[in-house]
Amino acid sequence: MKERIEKILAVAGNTFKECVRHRILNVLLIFAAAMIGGSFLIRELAPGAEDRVLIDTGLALTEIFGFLTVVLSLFITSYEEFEMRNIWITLTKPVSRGLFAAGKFAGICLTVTVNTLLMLSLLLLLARINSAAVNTSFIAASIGILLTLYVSAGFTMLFMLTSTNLTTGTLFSVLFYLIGHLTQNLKGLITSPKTAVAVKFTASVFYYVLPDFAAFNFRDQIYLSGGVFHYPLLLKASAYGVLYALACLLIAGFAFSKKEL
Amino acid sequence: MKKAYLFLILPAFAAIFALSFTRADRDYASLHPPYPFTETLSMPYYAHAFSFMGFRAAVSDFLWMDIVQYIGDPENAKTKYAELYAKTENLIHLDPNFTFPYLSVSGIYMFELKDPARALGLIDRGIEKNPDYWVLQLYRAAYVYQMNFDASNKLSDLERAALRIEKAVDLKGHPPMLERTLGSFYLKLAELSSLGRKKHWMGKAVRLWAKMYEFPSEELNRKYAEKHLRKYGLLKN
Repeated sequence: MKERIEKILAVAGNTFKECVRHRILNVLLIFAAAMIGGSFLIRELAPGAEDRVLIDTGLALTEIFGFLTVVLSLFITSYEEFEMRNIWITLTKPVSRGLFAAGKFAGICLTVTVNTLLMLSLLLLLARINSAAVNTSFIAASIGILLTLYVSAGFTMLFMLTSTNLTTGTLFSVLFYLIGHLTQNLKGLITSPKTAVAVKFTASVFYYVLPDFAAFNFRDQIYLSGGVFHYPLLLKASAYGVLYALACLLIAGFAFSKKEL
Repeated sequence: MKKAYLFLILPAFAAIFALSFTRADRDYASLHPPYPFTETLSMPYYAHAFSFMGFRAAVSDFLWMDIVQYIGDPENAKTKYAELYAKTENLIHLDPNFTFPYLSVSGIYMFELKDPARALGLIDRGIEKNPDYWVLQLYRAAYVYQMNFDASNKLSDLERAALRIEKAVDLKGHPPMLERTLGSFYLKLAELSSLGRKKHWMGKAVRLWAKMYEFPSEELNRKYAEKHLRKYGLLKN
């Protein structure tokens, strides 16, 4: 077991180093920082709601750039491994494909965590400079963003490792991310008495199979007048996020072990 | 091989159960109200797209910026801000917890456009969606006071305004100054009322002063209460 964990950590460390060294990802981080900094200027256009604009826009940009980091990190590292055949060097060593997938996932999660924390720190710094009120819901919103990104990393890896080419995998990931924000609205379709049974069944399947990013969305409630912090919901959402990412990772590992390279 | 499949299915089912538990949480429904399709039909398509994608609060902020630009354009003043109400409706349907538009737009309707019905309607909706936000109660008190002053019906307007300030004072986070304002309202009401009602309002004032004296939210409130209690001979030494 210890040996397996060491192998996963070695692959994760390597993936993280690769991501950090890559110029495109660094440029993306700088661009994200510039955009979040830009929300400092936009806030001037919303008198009476300056703090809100700064925090809302900053959090939305953090999530969008976090997702771009996930997709680009996986695309770049997978391209170097599969198209340039670097993966053979790793697989000739006693590292199974399943462990490789787990290590890669851990490395991507580490990269995206570091990136997200940097962006959130910048946002907090701007809030501090502006004396904007930040309540405890900010922590819930930040955890929600990280969960969204971990789940995204799970299904992006599943698509990258199982699709025939990386472009298709990227396209599927982006579509899944977009659809994941809409699944919440399927509930209305399922419960409506006007919906046909076949449609209800199909909608129910999609409802449970597709990720539900609304479960991790604590961003939109950050400025509730009561300043609420929903611990039980946060815990349930965290359990859901971790399990969904784990399920994606296991399926990805299993499919990857069967894939002909 | 069978074991491997079981290994795959278990976390998938666990995730489905976790999702069911998450969605069954009573906070989930309150935090994620259904998307207001029919109520926001006049909203631009890109605003729909982004809010549908989970960025409702951020889109509401941009809608607010749009409203500010609209109010700031002198050309729109000529039409008495014909689109203002529709724009505000879109915003408050999208994010009912964004409290500032209720205050400022209702203020424009009340004092600039002289349309108190719309002003009160907006404030009431704000109170309905944000019952813990004391500022809305205070604004409502001010509007009611203003409205009835215009109608020369001083007493009932003061009573209703006092009732709203009472509600605002009951809410957490209200400024201490509001308690002193309420005390002054009670005194004014006692002064204007007939004998029976005079006792009622004086009783309320005394209870408020006693509370302010015993549990002051700031030192100035205690001094204010002490001054009044002494004046009416209720506090000696």
